[in-house]
Amino acid sequence: MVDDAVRAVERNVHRDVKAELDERRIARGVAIGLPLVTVTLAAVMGVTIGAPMAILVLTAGMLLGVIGLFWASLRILSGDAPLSPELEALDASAHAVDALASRKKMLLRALKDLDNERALGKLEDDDHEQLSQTYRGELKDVLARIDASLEPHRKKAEDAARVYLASAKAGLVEEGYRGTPPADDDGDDDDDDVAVVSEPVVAKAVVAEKTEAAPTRVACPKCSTSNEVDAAFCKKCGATLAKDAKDAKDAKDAKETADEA
Amino acid sequence: MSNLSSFIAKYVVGDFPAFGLLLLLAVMVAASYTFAVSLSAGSSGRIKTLQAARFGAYGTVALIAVAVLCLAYAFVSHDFRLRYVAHYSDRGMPTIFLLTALWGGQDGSLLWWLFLLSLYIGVCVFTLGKKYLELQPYIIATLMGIVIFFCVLMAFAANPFATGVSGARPDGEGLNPLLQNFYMIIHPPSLYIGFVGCSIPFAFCIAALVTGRLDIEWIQACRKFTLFAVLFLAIGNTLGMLWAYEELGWGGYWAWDPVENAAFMPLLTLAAFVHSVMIQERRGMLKVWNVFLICLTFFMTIFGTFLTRSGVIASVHSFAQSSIGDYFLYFLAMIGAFCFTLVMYRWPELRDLKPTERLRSAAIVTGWATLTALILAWVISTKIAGSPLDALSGASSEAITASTSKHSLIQITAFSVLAGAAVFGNIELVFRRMTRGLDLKAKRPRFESIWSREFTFLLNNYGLLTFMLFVLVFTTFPMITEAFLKEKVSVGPPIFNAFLQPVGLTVFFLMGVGTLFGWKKSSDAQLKKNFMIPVGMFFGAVGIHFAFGKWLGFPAVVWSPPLYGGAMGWGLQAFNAITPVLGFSLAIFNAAVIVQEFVLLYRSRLRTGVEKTPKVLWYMGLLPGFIYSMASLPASGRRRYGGYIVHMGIVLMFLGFTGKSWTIDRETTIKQGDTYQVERLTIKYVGPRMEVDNTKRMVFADVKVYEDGKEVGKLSPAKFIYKKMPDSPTTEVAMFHSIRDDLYLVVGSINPETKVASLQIHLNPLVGWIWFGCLILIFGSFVCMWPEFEPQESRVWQVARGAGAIATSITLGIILALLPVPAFAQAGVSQQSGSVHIENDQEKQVFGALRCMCGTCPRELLSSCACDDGPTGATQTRARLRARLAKGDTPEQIIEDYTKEFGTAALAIPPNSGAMRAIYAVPIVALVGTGVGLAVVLRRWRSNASQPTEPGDAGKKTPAPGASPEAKRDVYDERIDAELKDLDG
Repeated sequence: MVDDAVRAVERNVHRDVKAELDERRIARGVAIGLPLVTVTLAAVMGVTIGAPMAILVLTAGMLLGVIGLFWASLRILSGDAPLSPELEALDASAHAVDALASRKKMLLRALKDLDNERALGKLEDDDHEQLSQTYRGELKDVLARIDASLEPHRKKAEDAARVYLASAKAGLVEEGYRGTPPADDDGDDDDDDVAVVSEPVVAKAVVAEKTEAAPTRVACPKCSTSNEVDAAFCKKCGATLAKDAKDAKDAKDAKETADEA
Repeated sequence: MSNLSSFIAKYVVGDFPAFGLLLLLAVMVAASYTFAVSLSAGSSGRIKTLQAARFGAYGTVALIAVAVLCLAYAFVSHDFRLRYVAHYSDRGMPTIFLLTALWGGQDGSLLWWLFLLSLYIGVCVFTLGKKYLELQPYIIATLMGIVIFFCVLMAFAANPFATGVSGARPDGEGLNPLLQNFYMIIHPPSLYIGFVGCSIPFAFCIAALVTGRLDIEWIQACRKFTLFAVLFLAIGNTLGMLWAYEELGWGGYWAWDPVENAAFMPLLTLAAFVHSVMIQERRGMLKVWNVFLICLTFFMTIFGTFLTRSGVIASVHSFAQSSIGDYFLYFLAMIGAFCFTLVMYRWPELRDLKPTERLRSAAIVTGWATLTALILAWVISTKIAGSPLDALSGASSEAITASTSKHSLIQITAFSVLAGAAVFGNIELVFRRMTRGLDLKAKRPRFESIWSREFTFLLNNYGLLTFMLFVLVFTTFPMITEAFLKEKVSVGPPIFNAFLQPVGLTVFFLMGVGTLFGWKKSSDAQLKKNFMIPVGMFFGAVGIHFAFGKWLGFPAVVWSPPLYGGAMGWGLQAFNAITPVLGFSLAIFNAAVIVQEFVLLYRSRLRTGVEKTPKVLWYMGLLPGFIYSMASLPASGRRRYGGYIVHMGIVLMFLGFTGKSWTIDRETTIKQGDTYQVERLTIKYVGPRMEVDNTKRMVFADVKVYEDGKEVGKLSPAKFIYKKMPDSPTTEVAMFHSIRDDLYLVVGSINPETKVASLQIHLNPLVGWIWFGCLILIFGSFVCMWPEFEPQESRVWQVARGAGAIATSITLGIILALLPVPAFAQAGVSQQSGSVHIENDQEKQVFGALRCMCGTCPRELLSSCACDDGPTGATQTRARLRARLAKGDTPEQIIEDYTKEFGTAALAIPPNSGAMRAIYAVPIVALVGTGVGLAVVLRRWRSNASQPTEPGDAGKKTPAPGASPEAKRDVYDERIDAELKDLDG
């Protein structure tokens, strides 16, 4: 008896999921199909009957679109229609105002400006040194505060990541995870800076760092071509590759820094 | 098939007008629904509700498109029941003309406004996607609010689907050739793209204010839209000039018409905004100012539509009022009150204070109390001063002038005292009382140095806004004097030119100076180095101009008649006289500045090795290399250097404007085969020629142009005589363009028997540079707006996508802007045919200062009006005044007598007496007042810079003296370096 009930519930759930999928498929079909059909029909009408008819067909198609759009809007509002999973995942409240993040962005921008102005020859080296020290100091303070505010979240995330890794590949945790703070590295127009570091993100960062710790490729210090880790010479320019892979990587980083400046 | 059409016509669209109105109401309902849902999404923060609002927004957009399509259908199917359709089309018009007639008249152009807005909304909602989730609901809500307003306006005051009083007509009025005034057609729709575009940044700003997310997020989010709006305002204004120049036949391109000014003002405020946001991005300063600028820009766009669409300014000419004016006024008042309250509510966040409820309410109460008190102060001061004319009916004009002076002095004094008391009282009594015990010490921003780009940007904002204020006061002055002083005046181009030349050139100068300063701080030595070449070029240009200008036909100093008597009149006259040399030399200065910036950039890129432009591109001419180099800049660098290219375009445009000083206007009556010499050009009149087509007869006067004995071109200025309007021939201008100047020919009349033609000849130096400058400006905006890419995208794909995106948007915009060209304008627009002849400076002074009072034209200036109706027609009046000049009367005397005859309304320059002085006093007082305010604020920022900023940070950030930079590098330095590397240049 109980089994039957459970099966029935499962069937219902299954049917719901299927209905949702169907609905989404229909919506997508209408979104692409309706304009196509309307425009084609209007073009045919325009050629065979005349411009007024074509406009009328366009109007009719548009009106159907209007009905469809408001139907979709109302169904979503009433909760009847499913949201796409990626929308479900978005949680608006996570994007709270973060004064620190915006301050960090501003200070970074200021430091970059200083570098640019010096490069253009508009700022004396002394002034640059002095000003950028001030801004750097402020920025460090902001970064420290951001780290402090993230500390409890990180702890939680680390635990979650450890559990996840333990369940996925037992034994990797101890050697792979070093526990350095994940770099919050976008600093541009995105609004997903600091406050949105949710658990999956940190978990991802952990995994990413793990892979970073044991590089699979080595860049040539001369031409930046990617080589095998154990290669002695670059396959492109023939330059001697550093014995230690990490050294090579550092050299490349240094070059990039110079490029960007 | 035709059965089907008639079936549809009979049953499906049986009651078409009612259906149209229903659609407008449906848009209103849909927009209201979306408005409500998005507000709910905003307050609940639920993604589900937001998604519903987004669909609602798309639905509303589609519904507006349905309404537009319905009107298009009415035009195409000749549904002459609709008044609008009957008024602007007939059965003979080709389909494409019928479609462009959609936005030809007022009612249709409002629907066009709404349609463009809906396109913007569609694009905006789409691009927002899953970003800016907190801002989105309020952005949608604000935009829907604007949609609702326009729906109300159309449904109740200017319904394009309204039926005519006399029922359906057999045929429409059709294309009236006299109304083929391109000037009035091209202007509104092309500018609307820019105009309507201002709604989007405004919506972002309101969303930021409502949510309190007032840092740079909203500015970055709407940057593309802002740039697009600026670009199209600029293109729209230039196109307006171009068409005025090409089609109107009076030889000029800008007449300071209210329509033009309305379009120009948002451009100024938005340009100021584009600059001042950069300071907010870098300093977190000027938050209130930026919010204010965007609100002002939006306000100005609605105000501009109000000015040009409601007939308020035209009331000076025609005394007709339209009912939609009231709706606009209410809407403007609502926008003003709403923005003001919101800014007050967010005052703590905007000023970086600790936001508490008590502070919020204190700010709102104080703000509104101050505003009310100021209005009260105005009312009371008017009461105190009384009306100057009550006691003086029948008194002499001197007594009236003296009395108005006294009256305005009393009023201004009373108002200043009362207003001062009101502001002080409100701040001291209300604000201090309400915020007692709160910590009001804001974290003050710091300025490292006055010698920085930040400071010059402030100056530039100050200049642009002053310019805007002058234009605003001059444009609305007739309205204000009519409302408050019960006196009709009009403000003509001479006064605009006299005052705005100094202001404009100052802003132009600041444009270059600002570029020379670096962000944060510029040392004396660096500044000297940067200024050396441009300043040298400036003085070189001045010298060359004085030495060779006259010889080349471009004298350095050109005197024009004074605007007023007295010292101020003389001062303005003197400044305007040196405008040519200043304009030219400043253009050279600015060009040198910009070139120097690019050289500096190239050198620094070479030095750091980022410059990877293949040499071959440089050898292929500079342009390909330049474009490649620009394309390889990081995003923020692109914006900066794209901005410089835009500046270069402006420099060229200014050069073109300067050319106006050297314009030569001649008129001649010429026999077949004769020649006429204008400067270096010889004009030979070959003879008349007539052609006939279905609608008109065309009479051409064929002219050959010679330079140094060599034939350089053939021109055929013409008169078109339409069959429908045989009495009013239209004038077709013919032009010979060159880099140096345009030869602009208008044929006044051709005698069919003697074949003698009267020609007006204008030689307009450097005009072509304006249009060329605008092209450069468009290219610069292209560089600024180049989309940013995901780093993982392949390079080819990046380039393709970027080029595609920008090319599509610009092409679409330009097509939209150019589409209305074959359309036609509203009734009541004057036809300037350009057959005005001015012989000397005295005539120029008199005709430029007086308006035609014939009563049939909308009071054109005598210097441009071509009507000749009866004894008071412009032609006759000019002849009369010319005779008086010949008799030896001074221009001043003639102007005075004319004023006595027709009243002050006949003056293009308001008299320099009594309350009329307010026209320049108000902007000048504002200029000085804000200047003082700016100085005070700067002093404060400077003094902040010398103290340590926050007590909490003090210990951490000042490095111990003597510590080497390497020694104190820590983990954070690594992180900062990494992040700096990722940050685009």
